[in-house]
Amino acid sequence: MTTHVTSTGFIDDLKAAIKFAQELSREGKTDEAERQWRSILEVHPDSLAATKGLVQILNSRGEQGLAQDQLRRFVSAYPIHANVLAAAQQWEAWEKTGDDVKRIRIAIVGSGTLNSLSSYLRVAVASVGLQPVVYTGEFGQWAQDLLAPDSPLFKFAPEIIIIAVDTQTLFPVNALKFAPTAEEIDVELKSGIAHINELLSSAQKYAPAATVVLHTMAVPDYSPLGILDLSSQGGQRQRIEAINAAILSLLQEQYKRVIPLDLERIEARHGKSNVRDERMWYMASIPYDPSFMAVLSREYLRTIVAVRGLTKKCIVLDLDNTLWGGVVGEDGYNGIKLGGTAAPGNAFADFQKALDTLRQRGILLALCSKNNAADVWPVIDNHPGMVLKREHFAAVRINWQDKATNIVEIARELNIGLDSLVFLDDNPAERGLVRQQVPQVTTVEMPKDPAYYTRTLLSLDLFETVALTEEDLRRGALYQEQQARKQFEESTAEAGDLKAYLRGLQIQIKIDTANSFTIPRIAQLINKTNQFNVTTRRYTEAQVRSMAEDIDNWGVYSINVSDRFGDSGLTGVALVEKSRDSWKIDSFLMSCRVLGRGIEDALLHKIITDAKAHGAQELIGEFIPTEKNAPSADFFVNQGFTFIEEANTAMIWKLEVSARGHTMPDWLIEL
Amino acid sequence: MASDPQVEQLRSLTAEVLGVDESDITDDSSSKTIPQWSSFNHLTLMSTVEETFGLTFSMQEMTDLQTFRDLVNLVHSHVA
Repeated sequence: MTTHVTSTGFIDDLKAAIKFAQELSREGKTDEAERQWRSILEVHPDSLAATKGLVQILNSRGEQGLAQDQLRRFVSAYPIHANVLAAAQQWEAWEKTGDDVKRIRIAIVGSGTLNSLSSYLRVAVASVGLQPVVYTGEFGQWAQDLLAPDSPLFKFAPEIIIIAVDTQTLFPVNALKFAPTAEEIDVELKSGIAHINELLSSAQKYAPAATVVLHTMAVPDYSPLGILDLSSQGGQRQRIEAINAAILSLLQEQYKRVIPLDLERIEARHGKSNVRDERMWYMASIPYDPSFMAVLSREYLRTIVAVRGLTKKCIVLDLDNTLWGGVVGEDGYNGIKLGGTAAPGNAFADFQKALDTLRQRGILLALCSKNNAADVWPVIDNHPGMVLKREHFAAVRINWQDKATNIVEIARELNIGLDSLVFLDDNPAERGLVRQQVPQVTTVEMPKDPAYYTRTLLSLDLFETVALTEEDLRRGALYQEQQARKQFEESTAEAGDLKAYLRGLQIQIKIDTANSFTIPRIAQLINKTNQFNVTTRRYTEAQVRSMAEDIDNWGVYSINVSDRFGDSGLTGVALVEKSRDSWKIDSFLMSCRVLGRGIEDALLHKIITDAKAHGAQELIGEFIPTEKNAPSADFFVNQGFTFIEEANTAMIWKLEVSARGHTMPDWLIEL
Repeated sequence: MASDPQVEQLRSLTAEVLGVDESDITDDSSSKTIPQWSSFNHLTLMSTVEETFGLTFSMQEMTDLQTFRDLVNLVHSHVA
């Protein structure tokens, strides 16, 4: 059997090798075909034909996960137009297969021909491990799609709706006319805003659970007034800025959950002249060049990641040549480059500032450095160039152990999954090791020059949220309070009295039903909590709101916890489906931070009390095991439920509501 | 045409974009003979050839192009 791979590893005739692999595949010799495809890819990793061949073989064997990994790696390494389109076709074919949990339904409508943009969107969504299911609006049909209640868009039941209508279509007079009159400007502004209002109102009505992303208006590359545009009253740029101000005003008044997309900024960043291929625009109304479609689809991905709770939670940072220039163990406190007006110290200071901004937004920072602690802390505590301080780091590993082990320990200490971590290190060898040993961690490819560190960090689309909650803003402080609690635990543990510890914490709890202030945080917890989560059902903010408003059929509970060391905030949620005789716990989840203190008992107790008062006889609980929720596996048995049966993947439990009083833990103070 | 490697590369590329077998691509293949050669796929084909060979075609050249033979000639004229 010839593989056309010579002993020196070169394929003398790639075409023949491909043909041979295809023959093997046609003959049903899948193992041999797979070997052949893999040998071709070893020499020609950029071969689309070989990738498609291998994906097909893996697919036919039912190894869809492997096939998808292969495709993801290929298009990430070789993102040329042809590969993106081919990969998108395959993702489209996978729409109906595979894990339901990974599917995300996105509708995109707007001006121009959007089919290629959908392809780029599919590939972007797939790159974060989701299965894209995309509805692309027909040319010029956005109004029909959004205004008719039974339109194909609403039938599609999107979770995300992207509205991409451009300035020249919605506001042609404001965008392009040479010297429009004040009246013309105003009439068009009002009718354009009214149209946008119509579209959003209809989307809200017929797809209330969907998150809408709305393009704001980009400024055309040139103004009819030339250099006089800005100094002319009511010049083109000012008119478009007024339009955008009116759009944002409308959103703030009536559509707070719609996400406006700052298209002008995104286009400017890419370079206005790179946004459109005029030939494709004139020939087929394709509005964007492939390079911009790649950028724009990753901008959409920011929102998608946020909506799906895939936001990364923690950045693990190296120190030497990452947070400062030089190696502190060799160059010493005075030898490292940090802060000041000279390069590279100023570049490293800016990088620390950018990291600090993310920290303020609720992303945790952790340190992982191969150093002696005695060399490091004086710099962190005292160096005038340091922006980040000791208390800004939620976890620290400064030792000579390998970084992969340290990172695993950091994840465990912070009680977050490895797939929530991002690793930044200037050293390619360290990055390679971590990528290999802990592939679930996102290891960022850092540029060699620290001048580009800040831009690299800011371009990452991994840290977005759809709502900045108080918990986000306080998260760093929350971890500090946790350290204090741990120290107290250690001191009382010596005495061996758990109850003394619990009483000593002076834990106060407040159980509420959801209101408009708490709904964003409740939705956030529902989407992020993996470990103590009995069913891991994910709901959007809009869906939670619907449940909270439907008080006859749903109970949306939250529990706030604070103790003498600090306020942990809203850390537990329960969704309960009510019927006359039986209440069912649809979701019961808690932040790991507050486990082991009876908080879950308190929340359950409240549900039982309410069920009793309502006249229900039984409370049903479901446990759906996942890779991550083992910590909640014993919840129902511990709370006195009896096991009923296994239905599909779920374990069903039941509690007779009147039976043996379920009690509220006596060390908790209920507010 | 003889099996000129550039021609074969173009044939392979065209087959890939249109989603047909290489054996279906002959000199006279066009949107009239291959149903998958839609106007959208025509533009994708143009972009892919440009990207692969590092060329830029004008709108006129792209709209004038009808057959596979035309494509081969166009690429030859740009590369030569």
